[in-house]
Amino acid sequence: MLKLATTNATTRRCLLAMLCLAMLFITPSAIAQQPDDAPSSTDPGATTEQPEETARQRARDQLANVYGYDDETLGNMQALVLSQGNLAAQVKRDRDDITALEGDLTRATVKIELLEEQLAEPRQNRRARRRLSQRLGESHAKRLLHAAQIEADQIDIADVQRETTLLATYIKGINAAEEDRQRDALAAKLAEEKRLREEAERRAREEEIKKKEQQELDQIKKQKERAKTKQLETLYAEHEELQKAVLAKTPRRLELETELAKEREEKNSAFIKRRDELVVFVEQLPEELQENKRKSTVDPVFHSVWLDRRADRSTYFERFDTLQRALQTSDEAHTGLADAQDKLQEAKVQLERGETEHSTARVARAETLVKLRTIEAEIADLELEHHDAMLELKLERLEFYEREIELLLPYISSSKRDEFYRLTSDANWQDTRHGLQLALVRITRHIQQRTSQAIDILSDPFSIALWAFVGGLLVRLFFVLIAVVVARSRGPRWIQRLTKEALKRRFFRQRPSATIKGGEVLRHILGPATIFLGITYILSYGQTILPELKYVQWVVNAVIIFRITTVAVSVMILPRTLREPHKVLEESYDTDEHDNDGIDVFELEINRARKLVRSAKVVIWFWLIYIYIPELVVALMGHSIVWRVIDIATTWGFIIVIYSVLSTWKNDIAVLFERLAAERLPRAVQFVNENKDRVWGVLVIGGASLYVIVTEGIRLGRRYLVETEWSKRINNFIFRKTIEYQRRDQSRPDDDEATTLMIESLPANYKQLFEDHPITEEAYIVERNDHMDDMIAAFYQSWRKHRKQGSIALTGESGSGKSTQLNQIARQFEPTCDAVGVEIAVTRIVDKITSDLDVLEFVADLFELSNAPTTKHELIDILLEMNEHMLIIDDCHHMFVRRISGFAGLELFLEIVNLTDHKHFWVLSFEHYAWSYLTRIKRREHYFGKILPLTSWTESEIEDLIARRNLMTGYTCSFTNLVVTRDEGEDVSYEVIKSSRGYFRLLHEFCQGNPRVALTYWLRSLEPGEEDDTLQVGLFKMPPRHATLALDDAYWFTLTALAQHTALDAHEISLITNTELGFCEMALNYFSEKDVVFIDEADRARLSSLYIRQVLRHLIDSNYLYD
Amino acid sequence: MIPIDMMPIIAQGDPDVAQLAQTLNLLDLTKLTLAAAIIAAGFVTNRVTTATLDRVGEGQAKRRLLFKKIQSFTRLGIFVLCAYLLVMVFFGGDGDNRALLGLGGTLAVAIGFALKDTTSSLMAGILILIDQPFQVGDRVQFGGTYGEVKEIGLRSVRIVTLDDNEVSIPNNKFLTEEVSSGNSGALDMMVVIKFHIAMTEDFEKAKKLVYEACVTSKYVFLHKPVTILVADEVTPIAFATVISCKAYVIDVRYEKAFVSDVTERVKRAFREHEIYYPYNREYSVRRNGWDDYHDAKGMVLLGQVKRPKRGSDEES
Repeated sequence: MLKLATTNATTRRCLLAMLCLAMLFITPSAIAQQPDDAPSSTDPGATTEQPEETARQRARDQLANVYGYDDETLGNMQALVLSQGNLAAQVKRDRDDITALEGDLTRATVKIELLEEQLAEPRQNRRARRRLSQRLGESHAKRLLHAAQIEADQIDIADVQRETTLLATYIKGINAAEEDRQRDALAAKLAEEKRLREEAERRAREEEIKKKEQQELDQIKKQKERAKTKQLETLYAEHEELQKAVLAKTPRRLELETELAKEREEKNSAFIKRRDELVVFVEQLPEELQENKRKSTVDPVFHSVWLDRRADRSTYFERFDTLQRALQTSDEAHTGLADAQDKLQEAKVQLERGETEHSTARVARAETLVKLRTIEAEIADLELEHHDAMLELKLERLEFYEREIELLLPYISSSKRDEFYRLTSDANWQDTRHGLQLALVRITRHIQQRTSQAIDILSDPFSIALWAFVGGLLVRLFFVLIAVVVARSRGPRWIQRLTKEALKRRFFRQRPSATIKGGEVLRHILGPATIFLGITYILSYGQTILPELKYVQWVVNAVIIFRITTVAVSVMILPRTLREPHKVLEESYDTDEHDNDGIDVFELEINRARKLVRSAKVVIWFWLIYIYIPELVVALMGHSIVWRVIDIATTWGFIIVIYSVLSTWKNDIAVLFERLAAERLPRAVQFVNENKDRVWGVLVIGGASLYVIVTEGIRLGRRYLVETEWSKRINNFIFRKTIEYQRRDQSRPDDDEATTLMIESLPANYKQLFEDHPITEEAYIVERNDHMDDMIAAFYQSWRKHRKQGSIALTGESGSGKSTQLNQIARQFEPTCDAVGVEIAVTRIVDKITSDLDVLEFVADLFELSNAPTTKHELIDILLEMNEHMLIIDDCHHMFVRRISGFAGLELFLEIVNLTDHKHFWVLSFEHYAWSYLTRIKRREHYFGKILPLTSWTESEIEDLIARRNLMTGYTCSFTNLVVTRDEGEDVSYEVIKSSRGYFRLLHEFCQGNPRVALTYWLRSLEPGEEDDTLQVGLFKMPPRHATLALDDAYWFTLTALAQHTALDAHEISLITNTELGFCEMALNYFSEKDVVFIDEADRARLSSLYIRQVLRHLIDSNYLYD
Repeated sequence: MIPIDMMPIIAQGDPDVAQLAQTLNLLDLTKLTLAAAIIAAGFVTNRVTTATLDRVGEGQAKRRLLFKKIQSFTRLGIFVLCAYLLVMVFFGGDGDNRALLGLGGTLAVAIGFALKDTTSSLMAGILILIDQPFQVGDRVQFGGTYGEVKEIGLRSVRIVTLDDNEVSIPNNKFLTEEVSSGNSGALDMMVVIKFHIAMTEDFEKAKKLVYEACVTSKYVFLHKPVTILVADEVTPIAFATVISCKAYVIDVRYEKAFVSDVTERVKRAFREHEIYYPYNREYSVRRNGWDDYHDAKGMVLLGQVKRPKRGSDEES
């Protein structure tokens, strides 16, 4: 018992908790929606009525079609009930038959068993056996017959039962319908009774009033008869007349009240019926309709609505005139009432002065007059109210018809639409005139109503409603003002801070321009957006009492769309110097931007940007007109030919604007189109260029614009969605693993030894071409997209004009192509320098030059001085007196050693460069990590006129590099070994191309754009093919990791020193790392054996390209190196 | 869960012992086995996770401390999960839990009083993990203990000092006493190395040498700035110029190695450039007489003293 009680308590607690949770999660809106969502409690039959009706209809159909019931039978309840009884009797009969047949069946079965037993007796003779067999056969036949009869009866019973069920369903449905009908009839009867009762009550009341008035009349007559003077008699006579008028008008008032109410109700109910029909019709319209269906179904309905609207519009003004007259009558009646009241007051005053029969009669007459005038005023008010209500109803109908026309317009046939918008139709123009008049009347009426409402509100300045509204408005204004002030004063700073924070993230740091532009756009639109939200908030509050404010909201929307779009476009396109000149420090633009013809490129670009902003403004402005003006016309006048005309005008206006804008941009678009599509669509480009100046050329330009937009969209999509680092990594991983699994399945040797053997088996002349050395031959040089040559050439030309800081530092990773780039510079400038008498000196530092004297000697050798000066100043003086030189020096990182006093040589050299760079042009190259280290310990960027970091090679550049060298060898490389899935007989060319792309993507990812590493691993991917001049490309093999795994920190410091200095001997490493020389020698020996480093003829160790990626990754991950 | 403010009330109840015993069913072998299995699984998971994260972290030095931090949170997560599962095993029946809650409350209060320090440490451990005044891998100074935080446990923090002693400090101590962290979760850490030279020495050259020794050290982290400060100081034996080098080491593990490397090379450079440490004239006079302080005519040199012979002050 206790447990039960506890369980109940627990259950209650759970329920309570669930209820609390439910209350937490149910939102007010959800609560608000409940009445709508829940079945209507006022109409309990609504949810069940429809299924019952459907079931009844289905049962009726089946009874008619399957069981042959005719309509007469189905309409006769008695016949149906009789059929039901007959069916029940038939079922009973069938069951009795089955019972009897089952007895026969049992008997036959028993007989068969007996006969079979007898037949089994061996003593039976043949004759007896034959007879028994015959009887057995008969019994079997009987049994089968009985069984078949039973089955037939069962089927019959099932069929009859089904029919009975259908009949029952049908009868039930009919009964339910009958019940509904009876219920409706009862409700109608009750309503009629109520009406009659009210009518009777009204008549009784009327009679009573009439009787009372009649009594008063009789009394007046008596008084008149008793009048002593002529004057009194006249008074009573007048009074009598007035009373008669009252007697006559009293029932009229009551009758009028009833009549008007009845008329209103009739009109209203007719409209409601029509409205419901139309709403149902529109809701049931399918999405798509055939033209003939439109004509047959929608057009008639639309036409009727159209005619109704026309009729209502034309009668609206009659009704309006009637209302005006009623208003006038009402005013007159009220004036008469006021006069009568004055007279009554006057008579009462006279009565108070001295009560005489005369004065009493006068008061009585005045009272009757007031009564009469009151009745007249009431009648006038009733009529006024009636006409007002009728006018409101008419307005409501008109609004409904407008809505319905708008809803039906997309569904009507084209012929009907033409008819509706036909400009030559007088009726349409009449409609339009009425629509316009109606709009004016409505506006006037709205203004009158709102004014009177405002006067009413202001007439009671202490009304709670007024002050509640004003208070709410003030509170909202306060919050909006705070939001606007904060957004305008603090917002820009917050967005700037946010942008800065975003730029610290890697993702945004990789896209600084877009991030900064995005931040700027946000900063500029924050203010307008906040103001817009504030105004919208205030207007939404105002619309609770003044719905017409929605038109103000339209204007605000249009203004904000225009403002925000133009601001965003300006920010994205115009440079900040033009947008906010007061916030930007004055900049002197480089005059070198002038091209050869003396055209100011910068100014051209600025003008183009300004033009683009202007174009955007014009397009947005006309787009707003195109959207809002027709909308406004519909809101005011409904759909009519005026709307049609305005819609056509705005649409064509917008098209003309687009045409004009495109025609002003046609040359730029054509150039852009040519740039994007010159290779793929040469004929289209030619067509655009030839026809762009024709009248219809804008259409061509429009097509080209679409191509440009789509192409750029695809390019950006690929760049930011498909060709991301992560997607590449995933693809590479899948590619690599798939091939590795395939190799494993094929049991192919994949160890380092096998790789070494394979490399050795490659042709010597092939390997020689892929050896790592600076490139000088033109055929090997890859045209890169980094525009390094152009930048250096432009800088050199600029330097020759200004003679300021003529020094360039070229930085890049070991093997990234610095030396090749310097060779190329020398080759590029050779003709120019020869022409102007400038000597070019190209050299490469091989040994360490770290002391002052070494540097002085080095520079003297560079300038081919016979005697090396002993001091810096002496050397500089000599250099400044010499002819102009261009000095190209490779591997300048050899001028420092990471030890105390190890920077003196570099400092001196950079000082010499810095002091002579107005006379001589210097191009120096530094290893990336060495440069990074040097600039960290002392800022050295300002020593140079330009710092040019070599960018990583792209995938296509790597592919080109290998292809060029491969071409020189005469060997063909096949990628068929990389094709993974291949069915017999299938064309594998596509798979081969896909595999080769996958291979180069993988190679590029691994080498990280380092061509030296790429060449090394390319060789590791090859093996001799089946034919002599063929090489098979496989997956490149990674060197074993054990060479670098689990090394002591001291080894890693050795590798760090090598990474920063490129080439060092054991002694230098010992000095740099402050470790014993013996250990350094041993470490270099170990690394050399493992191919992590290679040692040159001068006993200097360098990181091998085989391991450089792995080593650098580990050093960076461990903080030994930092970028 | 029972609200904490209800615990004492429940604890004061008078539960029926027989009913308790029946309901608790402490000798239920299945539950005990399940509890043991949960504890074992938690222990193994913790060990495996710790070992894995250690191994992964060692391969990626930059993320080593991150993995250490994850270890701490994983340990806490495993503990909470196991505790929850154990409670569910013993107290998670569908029946009447009131008596159990009464017993639980009594036990909680009793255990709370008996092991209030441990409980306090437990809560402090959670707070440390959330508030993070220091993290695993940080170099911290707490009282007289300086070393690397090896583990932030639920009861105590384990610090390995520089002489390789492991010190356990209860967590609740960190809530009331001050603790300083050298690197606050970063791999690098600032190290201050001071060098004293005689006040009359060429401090500019000394400063340059110290700077170069610092920036060329293999342990220096140049992603952050290196600062050299010069100040005069009165030491117990002499007036001195102090050159302080403030630099970041690439990994806190190399803190002392960095100090040693820079000091070693600075000393070598000072010797090479004849920059001397502060010395007391009295010691040298006592040892070498006044010869070094007289000129050829036997006049006492005031202000222009000769250099004492190399190594004399060091030996003294």
